[in-house]
Amino acid sequence: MRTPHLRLEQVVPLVALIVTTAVFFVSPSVTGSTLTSFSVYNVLQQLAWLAPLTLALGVTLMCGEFDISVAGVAPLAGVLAIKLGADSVYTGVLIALFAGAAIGLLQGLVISRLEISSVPVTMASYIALVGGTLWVSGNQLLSYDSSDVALWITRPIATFLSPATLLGLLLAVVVGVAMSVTAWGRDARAVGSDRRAARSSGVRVDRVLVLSFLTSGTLAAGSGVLLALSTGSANPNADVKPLVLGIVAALAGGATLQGGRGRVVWIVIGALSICLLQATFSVNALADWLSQFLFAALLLTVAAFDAPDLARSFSRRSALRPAREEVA
Amino acid sequence: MSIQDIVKTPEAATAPAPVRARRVRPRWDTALVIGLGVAFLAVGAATDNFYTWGNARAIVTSASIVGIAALAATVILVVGGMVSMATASVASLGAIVFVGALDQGFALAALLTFAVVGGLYAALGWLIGQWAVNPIIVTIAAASLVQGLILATTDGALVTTSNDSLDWLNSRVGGIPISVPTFVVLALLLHVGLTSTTWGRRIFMVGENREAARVAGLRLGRVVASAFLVAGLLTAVVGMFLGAVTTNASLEVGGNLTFDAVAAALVGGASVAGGRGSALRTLAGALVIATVSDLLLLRGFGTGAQICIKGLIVLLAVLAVHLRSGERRAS
Repeated sequence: MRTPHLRLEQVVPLVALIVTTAVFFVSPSVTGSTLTSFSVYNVLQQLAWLAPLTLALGVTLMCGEFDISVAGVAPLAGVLAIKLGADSVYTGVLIALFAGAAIGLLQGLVISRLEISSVPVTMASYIALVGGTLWVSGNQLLSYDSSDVALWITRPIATFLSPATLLGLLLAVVVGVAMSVTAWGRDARAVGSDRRAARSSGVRVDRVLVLSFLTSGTLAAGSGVLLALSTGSANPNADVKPLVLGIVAALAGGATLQGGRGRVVWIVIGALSICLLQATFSVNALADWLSQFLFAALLLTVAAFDAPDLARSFSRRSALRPAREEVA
Repeated sequence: MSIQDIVKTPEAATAPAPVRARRVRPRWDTALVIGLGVAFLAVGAATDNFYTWGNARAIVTSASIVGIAALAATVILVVGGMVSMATASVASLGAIVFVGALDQGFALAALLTFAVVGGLYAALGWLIGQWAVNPIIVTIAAASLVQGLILATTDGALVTTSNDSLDWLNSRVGGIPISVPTFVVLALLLHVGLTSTTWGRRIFMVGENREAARVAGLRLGRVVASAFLVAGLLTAVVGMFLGAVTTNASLEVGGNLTFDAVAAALVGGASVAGGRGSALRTLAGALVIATVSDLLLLRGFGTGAQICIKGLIVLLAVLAVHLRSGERRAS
């Protein structure tokens, strides 16, 4: 009988979630700080924008691509939503999402048609988008005239949730369902693990890549819009921090930079783990330097797990051991 | 010289090389570059103060410090280490170590900066070379570590010095800051190192094909660590100049260096796939970006527009280099 076993892409997110949840709930009693229902609400508020951003990275990581531009699309979408949403919030949000989708589509077309690596292309777009966002915003922090939208979208539902959290998760559910109902999810992972094999077995590689980048751009815009609506303002100064959080969350969710791995549900769980971790730092009022060290340690652990030649050197060593004993 | 040249047997080496017909392709990209260049120079002519010595000085000055960081990015790109996401943080660390240690004397402060920054980068390079640890993740981790280290030691405060021995880093030769000749000399040295030494050949070999280099007997950990060590030493120089320009240092002194450095190297034709890049072309790349930013500034465009157009130039360069090389990814 086959014993059921979890695959690595499920073990990593599960372990991450269990550890971060335990630390989140136990650590306050050690440091003497208090945990309230508001702390949990805050975790889920952060998840509202981090889940779509992580998934934006995740859908391209599955195909073996890396979309750095999500960190540029999100602030641009936030600025567009606020700037063009003065009369009607919906207009601003729609234009912002459309801009994200258009940028993603364009990048997807360039990357798939020219068969070029996504890192330099999306890095160049990231730089252009950072500048473009400053340009569009006139280098100013933009905000809505009234705080109605922010109050509505952050109002608590069932103590812990809010419309923002639900909308962020809805975006993830739409992508998750689309990936599992159609062949997209399977094809994306096939493209990510072996592009040549995927192509020769009939996968339309171009189409999968374009769809994934289109989704990535739209999700990143969704993330920027949700953050902007929640705070009622948009900061035009792009920062690398959200990108870093998104990468760590995607890796904690079982995706890898080599591609071919990752499921929407687990990636969202990875995002939740990182939100819990961030909240643990703030609830316990951990010194900034300490949280940076812990973050670095976490990344190094993930990087070590992900390193093909580290595993190889270990397996080689254990393979050599019995042979040496025989000789002796 | 490629890996095949080294591993192939003497018989194969003496056999006549198969003559391959070279496909003649219209050099639309060359035409595009020349066209853009001419259009650019024409706009320059229509702009007041563009063709002046003072403006030329401003351009080379603004290209110099970013340019040295771009040389570091070039070595990393060539060896196949992709991009360092830690450039800004590590340069800030260099500035802080240098400014903080200056009271012990200039030479000791410089030595300490080289040791700390070079050592950190060499360690990262060893991880990337030996175990194929992902360069992007490990350099983000390094950035986080460095930021933590800086916050723990400085508490986020500015590190300042009243020691005037760093003044010569701000000195001018014929009206040009010393960072400019330093950039040129370092670019020439790196060019010679990459093109005419065994070290350079090894760097290119590992960047072109990691597995083949391993089969050919190269110690990947050592080779990649040596490339990162050089990148670290260059980044230490950047940190020292940043510290000298502002006479103080903090976590923010690195600014947007991370992406600016890679941008100049990519405009200079380096490839993230590894095995391609040149110190002199990176020098040209840094100058192109600085010149375009300068022209936009003179024509009254703001910071946002300058950064946006810089991104578009990088995109154009990346696409042009990719199409010109005719290189398609293994797919």
